[in-house]
Amino acid sequence: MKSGMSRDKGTFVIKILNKQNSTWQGTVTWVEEQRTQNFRSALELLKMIDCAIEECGNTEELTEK
Amino acid sequence: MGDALRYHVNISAPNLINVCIDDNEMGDMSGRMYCCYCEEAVRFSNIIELLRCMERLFDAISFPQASTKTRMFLDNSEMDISLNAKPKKIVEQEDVIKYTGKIGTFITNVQFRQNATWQGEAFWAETGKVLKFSNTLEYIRRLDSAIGSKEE
Repeated sequence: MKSGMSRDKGTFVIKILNKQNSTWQGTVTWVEEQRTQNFRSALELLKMIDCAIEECGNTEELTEK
Repeated sequence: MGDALRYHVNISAPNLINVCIDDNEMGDMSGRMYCCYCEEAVRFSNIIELLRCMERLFDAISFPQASTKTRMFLDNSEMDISLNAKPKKIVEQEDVIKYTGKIGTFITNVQFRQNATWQGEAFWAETGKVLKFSNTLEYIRRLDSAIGSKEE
């Protein structure tokens, strides 16, 4: 990552592998943290990213204090 | 909307949510959310915030119980919220549904949380239509097209 982008909230690479139960299944990679997780629905994907960004924000706040 | 409403939505559901959409600027819905466990309106500025609030409520009251535990990148997730004391019902369903949104009111009843997503129905109070959904994407899509059709 470029140093100028360190304040960005996060980069996620999403691979949708299936569309069962009329929702999405696949894998998502959190680039900055080098973590990959599988998701079973769009809601789960959304919650994962939301939580990761929140976690990221909290850490930033702590380091700023 | 009183009488018509009674025939179209199960208002005795403990997780009944009244989603009042006040604005749809740049395609992102914002407004208020009412439930039986909070006297004041829960405000949301986008659809993600709404979904987050709804999911937290369902986890807190364990209804509808999730069939899967949400996966997270990090282990210290807030998913164990259901282990905390359950919130008490302080508002009657009749009072929850009395509020209306400026551009749309959707009385939402999420009946199941299978396949890591939601299934249920939303009653569009302004038109009397019932919007059934079998996953969260469909729920968002249905709200969005309902609001969109009204704006045209």
